[in-house]
Amino acid sequence: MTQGVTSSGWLRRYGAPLAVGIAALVIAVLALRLANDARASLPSTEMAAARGPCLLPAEQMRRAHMDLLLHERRVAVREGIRNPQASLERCVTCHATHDAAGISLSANDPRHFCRACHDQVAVRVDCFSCHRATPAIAAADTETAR
Amino acid sequence: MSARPDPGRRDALKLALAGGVASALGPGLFLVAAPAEARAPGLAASSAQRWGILIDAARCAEDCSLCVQACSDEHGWTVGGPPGREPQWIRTVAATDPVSGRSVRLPLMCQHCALPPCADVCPTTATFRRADGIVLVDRHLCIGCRYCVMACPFNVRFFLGDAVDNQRPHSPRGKGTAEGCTLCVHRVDAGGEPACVEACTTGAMVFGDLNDPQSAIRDSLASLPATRLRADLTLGQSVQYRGL
Amino acid sequence: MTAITLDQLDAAPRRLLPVVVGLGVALVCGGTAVLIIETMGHHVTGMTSLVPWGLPHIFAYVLILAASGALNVAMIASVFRRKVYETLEPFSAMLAIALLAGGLSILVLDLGRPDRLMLTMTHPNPRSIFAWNIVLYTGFMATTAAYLITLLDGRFSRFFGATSGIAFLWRFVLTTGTGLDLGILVAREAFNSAIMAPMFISFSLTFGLAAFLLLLPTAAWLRGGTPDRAVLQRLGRLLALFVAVSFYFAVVMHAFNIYTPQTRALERFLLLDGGVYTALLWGGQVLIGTAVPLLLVAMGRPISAAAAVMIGAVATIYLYVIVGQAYPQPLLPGMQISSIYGDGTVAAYVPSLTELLLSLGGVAVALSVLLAGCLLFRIIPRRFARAGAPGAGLQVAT
Repeated sequence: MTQGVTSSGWLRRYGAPLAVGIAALVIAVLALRLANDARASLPSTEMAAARGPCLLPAEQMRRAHMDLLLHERRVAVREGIRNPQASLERCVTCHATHDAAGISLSANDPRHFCRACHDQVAVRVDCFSCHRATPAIAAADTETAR
Repeated sequence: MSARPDPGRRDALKLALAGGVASALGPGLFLVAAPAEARAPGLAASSAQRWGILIDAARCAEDCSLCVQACSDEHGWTVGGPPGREPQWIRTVAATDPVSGRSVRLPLMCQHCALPPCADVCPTTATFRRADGIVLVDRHLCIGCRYCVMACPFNVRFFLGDAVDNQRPHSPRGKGTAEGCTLCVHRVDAGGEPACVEACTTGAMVFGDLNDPQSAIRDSLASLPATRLRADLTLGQSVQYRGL
Repeated sequence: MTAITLDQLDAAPRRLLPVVVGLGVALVCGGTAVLIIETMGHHVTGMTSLVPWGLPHIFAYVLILAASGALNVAMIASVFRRKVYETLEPFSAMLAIALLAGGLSILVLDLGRPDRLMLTMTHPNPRSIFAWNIVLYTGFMATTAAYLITLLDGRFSRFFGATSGIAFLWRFVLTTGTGLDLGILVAREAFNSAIMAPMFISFSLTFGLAAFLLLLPTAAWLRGGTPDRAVLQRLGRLLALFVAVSFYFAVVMHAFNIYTPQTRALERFLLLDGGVYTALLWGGQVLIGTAVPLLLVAMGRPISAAAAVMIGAVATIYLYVIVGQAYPQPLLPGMQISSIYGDGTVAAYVPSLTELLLSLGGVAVALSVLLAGCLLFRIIPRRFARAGAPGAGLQVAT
């Protein structure tokens, strides 16, 4: 007599409730996410308005900045096509935030420009594990080792 | 049937002829330019150029480490430390002949091989050879498996096992990725030369375009012998040595 | 016709609790080690840029080789039609999946950036054996699982022939790839050779059968019975054969390296001057890994022989992988070289506690998967078919 893969038939007994439970969990999380689309309450950040416009208007930039980054990093690194206007260094220089003493904040500080939004939407910013997160100050930075 | 080619084919032939003449004459138009020219913004690196370094070990001075210090300042790594712990993008190696006692000194960095074992074994194409011969690590793709570090015959690939901060803006480096000499690609793309070559005061290091018959490096290679480390491996390194 | 019965482990026999607790502790320790390494960086381990692959990779290789070899027991019955081993097929397949899961878990968790593992799938390098290995390893688990399903569920038994054939071929490609992983590295003289492929096939047969001979009696003991001594003796003699063949490959490799001037100094180091590495070769690979198992099998003690083989396995893989990295590379052959980076000297490598915990955690993953398989599915043979019984097919008693 042939038999199922498990003799106790636990899959047959608990399979349906398990699938329903997982589906319910997924739907609940998605619903909460959509309900909490807190676009209106995004934190404002100090802008270096005098340094000129960004590549795109703010609303478009919020949606598209990752696409721009992915494109630029591929053509810059793998093909050697450098576009200083779209470099991460320029982004970091314009969008630098400072503490009370006037020192630029690194990406470890939640007040960093990228962290301010990314912490709210709970998306980890990976760029600054390698890239410099603060503007380079010409002389001092080249003298100190890490 | 007409004996002359039809108009469409005639135009195509003209175009091909023009293209052939242009590509034959084109490189010659740059004969009088400097060995390393800044690429116009928006132009990709191409195999028309092949960057290389020629090192004359006989001119490498005793107790000199200017090239090492320059690279360290340029890219932000620390010279020294327990062997294997700190990446040493460039280091000086002393070699002694056990029979004659003659010793020689040479700087050792990524050899930028034409057939790089590191690029062959990288599972994600993070380590790759750019069209102009520079072997780079695309740290966006590096998963930190260290297979490339295993594969390098010269021990010039390094794994960054420690968190980094205060990176140079032109040289991103991060924990958990592989790295090595980049031939100062950021300088080369802007028409300059690597920091180590620039820092050498004895003229032991010459940088240039190996594909440019008028470059100083080609002149030097054509007139005097040079060799590659582990030439038996036929890796076709862009870094060559003389006086070993 | 003898009915063959396969059993599940009961839910809570008294013998099971210490095993579960032990595995849990090992898993927690392994997980902690991973967290430490990932947050603090690999500088807390003994692995450096000179010796980038360490103890975790040793254990991973042993587990992966044992995985492909563990399936071999099932293949003796399925592909080579030796009916006396038919009851061992499901356990063998489950063991293969479990060991590979353990080995793979170590490799993945030791990465500098394990969060980027998917890049091996989205940006694979077709020239990289490592990239192919990811496909081969996951494919191996899938093909072996398919084979296992045809064994356990009668509704799919018509696919038995196809799945066993595919699994058999896949396993050879996988082990060849694992051997060439190391063999194609021109930088590492100690193992830069095509012989790594067949040698690893031989190692996989040895380690896999040893793992089987250790874990099947353990599972049977947990179930409350003892497996057939006669079959164990037969498998023990097979283990002796595999041990001898592995030794043959090792001797050939060393003889070749001694004869070749380029590698003579390396062989001298391995066989005479290498300190701990020489001890691992003679004490680990030759004595505990080869001589002792052969002796124990001759004395009729196959399980002890299997234990000795596994200890020798770790020693052997450790020896070759570490020496291959630590031995100085000949930048200028014939010249003595030195630098502040240790060029020209044997690099130091001392495994750290985090590496050991990670490695043991991977073993615990393998054993946990195996335990889960024993609890969920009927794979432990209670009695073996008598040899020569005609048409002794696989039947599952209700």
